[in-house]
Amino acid sequence: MPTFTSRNYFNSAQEHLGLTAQLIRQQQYFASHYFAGLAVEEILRALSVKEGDSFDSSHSIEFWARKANVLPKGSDERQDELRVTLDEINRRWRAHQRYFTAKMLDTYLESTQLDKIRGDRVKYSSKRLFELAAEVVGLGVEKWQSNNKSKQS
Amino acid sequence: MAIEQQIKAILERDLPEARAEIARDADTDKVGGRVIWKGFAGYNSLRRQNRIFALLRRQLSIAEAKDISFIFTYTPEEYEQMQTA
Repeated sequence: MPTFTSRNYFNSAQEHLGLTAQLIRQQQYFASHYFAGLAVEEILRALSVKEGDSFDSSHSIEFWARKANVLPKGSDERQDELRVTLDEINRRWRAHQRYFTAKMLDTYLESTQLDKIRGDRVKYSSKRLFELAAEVVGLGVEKWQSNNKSKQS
Repeated sequence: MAIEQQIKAILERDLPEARAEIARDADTDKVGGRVIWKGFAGYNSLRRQNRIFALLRRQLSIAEAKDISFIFTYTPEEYEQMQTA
């Protein structure tokens, strides 16, 4: 089994966020939905795992968010924005959705009552999840770089 | 009373019939967890988080509130679904 390091997750989060954007352009909304959530899990893992840690098979956003220490320093407002973002991601995305059909994902999203829309819920949610993921990955990348700069100096 | 217990007590008292699971993370030393409450049904994440943090900031000191990382929100149905994931 390969070893997954913090740097691996840091790279894969950005790669998968880019893939998400590409899939949206190609109107592959089911796949983009999955990869957006995966990118979030990966950036949270990047901030959480330490050298020598064994692989943790949890895919829960809740679990990794609490491990990652990702809250920005500063005002309550800034921290609350991230809390809201991760709460919503956690409600939209589950790793086991990769086994869903598009219809199952649509039914799941309907049950969450997150989007008061008519029409294609998977399309809407994949675009929304991409925006949310971009915010978290962007913040995580900054934090990861800052953590690693301070380790080197 | 430890802050984890204070948070649990506040949430379970002020959100009727809610269940809060709050703990301190050994790695980050921050306090967080989840709250499961039927009253969250129909609320978006902004309203849910505003509700719980308004309650906590009113009843905790600034330093205690700064000790909190994330408290994720679920209705009982959402929590049940999450557990099967």
